[in-house]
Amino acid sequence: MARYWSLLKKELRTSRMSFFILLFSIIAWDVFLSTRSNSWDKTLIFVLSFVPVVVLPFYAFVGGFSSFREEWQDKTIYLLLLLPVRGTTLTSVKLLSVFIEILVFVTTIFIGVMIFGQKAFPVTMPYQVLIQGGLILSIAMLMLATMSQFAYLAGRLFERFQWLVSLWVFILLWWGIGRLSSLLSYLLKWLPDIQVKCWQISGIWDYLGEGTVPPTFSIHSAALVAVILSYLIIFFLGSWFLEKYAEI
Amino acid sequence: MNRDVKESDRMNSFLKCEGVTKHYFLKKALNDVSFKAERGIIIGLIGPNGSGKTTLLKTIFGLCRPTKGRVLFEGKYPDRSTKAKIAFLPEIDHLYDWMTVHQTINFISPFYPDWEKVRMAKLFDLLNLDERMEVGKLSKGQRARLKILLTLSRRSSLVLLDEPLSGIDPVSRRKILQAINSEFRAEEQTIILSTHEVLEAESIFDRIIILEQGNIKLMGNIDDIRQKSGKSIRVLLEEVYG
Repeated sequence: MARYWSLLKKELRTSRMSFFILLFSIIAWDVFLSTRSNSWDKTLIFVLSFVPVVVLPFYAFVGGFSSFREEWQDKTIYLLLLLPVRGTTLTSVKLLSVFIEILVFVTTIFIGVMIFGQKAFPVTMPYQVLIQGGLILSIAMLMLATMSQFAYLAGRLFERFQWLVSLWVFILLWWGIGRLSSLLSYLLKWLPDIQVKCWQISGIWDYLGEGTVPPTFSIHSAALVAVILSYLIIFFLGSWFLEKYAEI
Repeated sequence: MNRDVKESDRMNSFLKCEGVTKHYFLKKALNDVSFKAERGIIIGLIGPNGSGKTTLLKTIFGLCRPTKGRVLFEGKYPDRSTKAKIAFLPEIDHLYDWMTVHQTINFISPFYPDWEKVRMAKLFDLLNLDERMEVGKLSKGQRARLKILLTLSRRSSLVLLDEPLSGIDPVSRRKILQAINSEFRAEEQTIILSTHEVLEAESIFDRIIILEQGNIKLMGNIDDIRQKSGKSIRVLLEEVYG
């Protein structure tokens, strides 16, 4: 565990520049919006407070892709591949670092959303919605980072045209994951659905409009497990490439 | 993969390279390289740039896969478990510039169960390093000394040193050779050292392998070679490479 923590600290330290630049940009955006609160419509300000979310997919993509690319570029990949650790240790620590950073960004963005939401609407937004939205967003970004990391590692298996291979792998992954998830979903259709009674993102506008009781909604377990399994397959495959086949 | 290794291979030799060939696109980096090594010797891997020294060391460690042939270390193909037993010093600068010497040691040492603090402290004094300095601010010679410290602080049975003397000042070269000499455990360790600096390193070698364009040009016990030819290794090399 101490070794994993040591690797994670190294990852967080390596990406701290881009992390702080984006974090301060999000805060600066919120500060800017708060200065407009007297002149702009409050609902518009509330909607605009979501804008930094647009940057997150880009950050996750670059985080997944370039975390290994930079190691290769700086030759520090030697140091990592000299360590007697599993490929999964190296790949997971990089993804965890991206996930932690995304969580911090999402929390910061949603604090702004909450503050501007309170000013724009007479009722307070239920915290479950924010936690739910934040987690779904962060996990989606983690999935994107997993895909871009896999695409980069797949490219490293080739001596030439690595960029082209990575690009095609990334494009084909969308299709591949869709197909694999459909297949797994079909195979797992025996799994029972889960019923949850709470506020959810899709019901937020009802809530804000009418303030009704939390609805019950159903989670399609087979599809959910299928998607998770598909990403786990990609993750383990990428780690296997790194440990067994990546050359330096 | 390891299931294919025969028991006889496992018992026979400490390190075995059998017909190792490595292609990079159109270039053949290694061509049918075969040799065996037992414990307790220092092997000099000698050859000009592009002769395949680095590729051979990387293949032994497992950073490259041979296109043909195989490498067996203690009867196993190179993998994660052999990484824990082999210490490898790459020629390039592979350390994080932003870390201090102290942070670098603290980052790397927990990964190796064979790391010896006493040995490290001894090497620290011998190599004259300042642990507060950032790696990025170290001179080339100091970096080379740090790399040798990180490699020799382990109780590894096989040590692969890729050009540890290349492009550094005479003082650092002397200190590095001194460190290799003083920390070599003849009873349990083998060192393979690739170098251009034959004149300085010749005295520590028990055996040499001379590579040219990926082929073994000459290989054997250094004393036997000197005796048979009646020439120093340096003179021999000049003859081999023209």
